[in-house]
Amino acid sequence: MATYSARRLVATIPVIVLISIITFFAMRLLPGDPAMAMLGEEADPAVAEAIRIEMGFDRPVVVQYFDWIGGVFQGDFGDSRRSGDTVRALVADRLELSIELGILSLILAVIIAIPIGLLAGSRPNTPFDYGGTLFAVLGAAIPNFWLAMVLILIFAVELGWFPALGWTSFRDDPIENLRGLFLPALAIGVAQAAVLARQTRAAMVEVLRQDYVRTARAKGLRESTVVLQHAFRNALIPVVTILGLQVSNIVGGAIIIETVFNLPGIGKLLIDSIFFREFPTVQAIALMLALVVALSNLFVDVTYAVLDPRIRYE
Amino acid sequence: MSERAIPMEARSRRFSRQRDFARRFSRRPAGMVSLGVILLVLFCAIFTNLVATHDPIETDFDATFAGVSGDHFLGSDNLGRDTFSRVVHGARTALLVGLISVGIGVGIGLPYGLLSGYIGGLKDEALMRVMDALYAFPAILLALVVIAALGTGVFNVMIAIGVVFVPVMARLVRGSTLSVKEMDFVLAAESVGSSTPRILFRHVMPNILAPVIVQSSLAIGFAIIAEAGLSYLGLGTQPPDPSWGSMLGQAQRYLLSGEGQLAIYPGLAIVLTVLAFNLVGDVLRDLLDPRLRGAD
Repeated sequence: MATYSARRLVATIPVIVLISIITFFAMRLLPGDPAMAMLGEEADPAVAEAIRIEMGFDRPVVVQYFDWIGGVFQGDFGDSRRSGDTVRALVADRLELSIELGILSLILAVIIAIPIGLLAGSRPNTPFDYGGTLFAVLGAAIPNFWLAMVLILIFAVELGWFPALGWTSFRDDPIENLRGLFLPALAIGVAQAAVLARQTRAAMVEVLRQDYVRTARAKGLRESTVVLQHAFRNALIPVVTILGLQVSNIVGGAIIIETVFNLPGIGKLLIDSIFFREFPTVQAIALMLALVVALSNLFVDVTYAVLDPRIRYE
Repeated sequence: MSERAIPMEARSRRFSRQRDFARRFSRRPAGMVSLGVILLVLFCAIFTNLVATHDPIETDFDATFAGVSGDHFLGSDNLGRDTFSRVVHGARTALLVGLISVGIGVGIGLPYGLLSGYIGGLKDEALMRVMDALYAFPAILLALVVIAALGTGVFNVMIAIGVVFVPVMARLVRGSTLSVKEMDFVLAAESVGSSTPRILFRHVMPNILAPVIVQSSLAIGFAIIAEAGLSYLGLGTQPPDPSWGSMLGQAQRYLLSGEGQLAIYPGLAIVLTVLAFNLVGDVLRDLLDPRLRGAD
């Protein structure tokens, strides 16, 4: 087990290095002067020259990369020109909200998906199954930001159950915090629930065909015991593999949804930084989010190997 | 058998395979209805001026926020522009971005995956690590990074979404190539001294196209959602040009002031179109590549 985990960890290192290279060099894709790109076409050449020297754009690009990555290792992501703050401080301020939103989305996705997938998979070709499949198909086709707008229209504007915009910190008012994050988390979670439900259904159908399920039925166990105790636990194993994908989708979903609900999180900061051409902030957020996804994939792989020993020996 | 008879027979075999495929596809109601929806959207995208009742960017301040009527089938927006005509014009943007970005993804990812899988060894490992790194970025984040670098606009959105598909296609193609390259006909082609490009494109590629076609259909659906998302954020199609996403972006401003209907129709257009591409992709997967069934 330790060997497998170590091997996966070693395989992840070059991916992480490449992520940092892609993040850094993507901002240098633009032909021409990065200082002018940051300031816009009408910028004063003297200001551009000052920026060029301040940001180190006048040095070879490889030197710039090692400078940047060296800073990253020390927690220095550069400065935000617009706010006058460090990128690190800007990101740290917004981390709490984004992490909470991500976790809530994942929890909602699981709460919605598992019962639907379980019901659909244990009763194939019944109205439960058709309903579950319809949910899975629709959930994958509805853009999360449109779903968010529809949720705002119904639950905030018409019914007034949840606030349409804004956010209260959990420490200030936990109830208001959860009320404020429920609709955004639901908007992100539904699409993930659709994928999870589909996977759970497929896994349940597969597991219920196995000999040990037939044996469990043959010895007279109740159907609910067979489904929940024998089949469901094993059906969850392949479902775990897509949790890594879910983390990736939730991170992606949060970027847009934070903007829809005007939530001051990492995603909103990223979008604002793109508009204001704050390259150090864009780089820092892109690197951080890609690392979160890469590490959660690593975590899922290792967890999967713990759950299913066959993986370790492949 | 005469020399001419062989190609004739091969041609008729291919024709009967295509006919058989069309027959099996036509037996799938979800596939047929979805194909109908795609053809309808395609018709709107090509014959926009024929279908649209108004100029999509023409403002009419006497008809702002007009309701559904004979003149405005789906009402009008804050500038009195006809929603129906804007939705119809939006179809063109959606399909164009969908097709071109998937084209970019396949155009780069397919040869990359073919080559990586075929050469194998350390070079394959190195090539795939680059794809793994790209794949580690959530799709929308990677698209945003590319847009941050290239700038906003619908053309850059196509490139950005295309870049997202490159690792998806490359990994898929590489996996299929690994199994196909061990087959006898590839070994035979190698033994008679065929060049690597000939082996890759003439012998390996036709045998790995099925999953690529399936994935492309699903990818078009994703591309339409991604374009809409980026245009919603103001990074894609720029006003006053109509795109379903930018229409939703404008509708957002009037969501809380009782004009929520502006958000309904562009959203429905996205859902219907994406649903159609996803369902066609599912049916194609069942028909072309039964091994992939239930894979996701």
